[in-house]
Amino acid sequence: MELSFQPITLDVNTPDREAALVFREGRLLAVLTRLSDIHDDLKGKWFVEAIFGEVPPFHAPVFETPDQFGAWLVRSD
Amino acid sequence: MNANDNDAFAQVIRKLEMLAPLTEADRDAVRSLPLTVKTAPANRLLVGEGDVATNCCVLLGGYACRYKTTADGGRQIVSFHMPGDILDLQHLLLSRADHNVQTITEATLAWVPAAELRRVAQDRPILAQALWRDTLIDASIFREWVLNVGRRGAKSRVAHMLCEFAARREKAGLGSVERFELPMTQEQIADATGLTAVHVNRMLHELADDRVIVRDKRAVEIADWTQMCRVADFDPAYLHEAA
Repeated sequence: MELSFQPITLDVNTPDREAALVFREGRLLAVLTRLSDIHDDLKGKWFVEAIFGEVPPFHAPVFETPDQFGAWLVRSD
Repeated sequence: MNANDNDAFAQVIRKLEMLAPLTEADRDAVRSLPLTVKTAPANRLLVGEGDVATNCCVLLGGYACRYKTTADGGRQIVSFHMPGDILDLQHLLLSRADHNVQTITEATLAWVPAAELRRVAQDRPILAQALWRDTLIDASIFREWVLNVGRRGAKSRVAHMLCEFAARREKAGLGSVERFELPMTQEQIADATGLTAVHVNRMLHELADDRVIVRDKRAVEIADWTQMCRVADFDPAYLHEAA
């Protein structure tokens, strides 16, 4: 499974603006957000903001890197 | 009957008197119930879905929640409970538990055999009315929660949960609406509002940035109750004065 990532900035009221679009074979699969310092221990980790596949986002953990999201997705498929 | 039991009966009677005008004979009937007071640690499952429950319980101290789970492990908290709340009143007439009941802090509980409570309710119409009214208010709160989880934005959902918690606490004589300790974790608030813990944290920060609340760890101060109610879309009419 080939994933590609595109950095973006979210237009939100919270400090969690740094984000990445995740594409699978050219199609938008997910939006990941890099958690800001309001999240204490989770600061810097990647949170699944939205996902367009079959995997319910509520069960997704947070990830050290966007690549780890890809590895988790393979295991969850 | 020891002093502990006396306190327990006083709390149960106080709760029932908020629901219906009890007579002295009604109060005596409550005092005649074989009530067992027990403590439980935080996160103790009191009733599991599918259990055949033969007891009802009144929460005397601490906090609890009711929840249901999906087949793949998702959890939805469907209500929070505080001292004075009657948990599992439904087991008066429905024997099999259709949800889970769990403490969220250390708790003190008064257990009453459902058969005994049913007998007293059959003999004393005003007591039966109090229990029926409690069940109807419970249903009204569930309707409000469906609206909250299904149709309100994230900030309103969290604010609404806080407003309801504050208003019910005040009604139960546990303190003012303006300042309180939150017994539940952000994960539990997330499970109650259909959000993630990350998003609950964001919404609490937004409410603080808007100067509607002031937070200090678990303590929450509602700095502007009118504005908080507006943000939350909170109208306490659905609590029917007694909850």
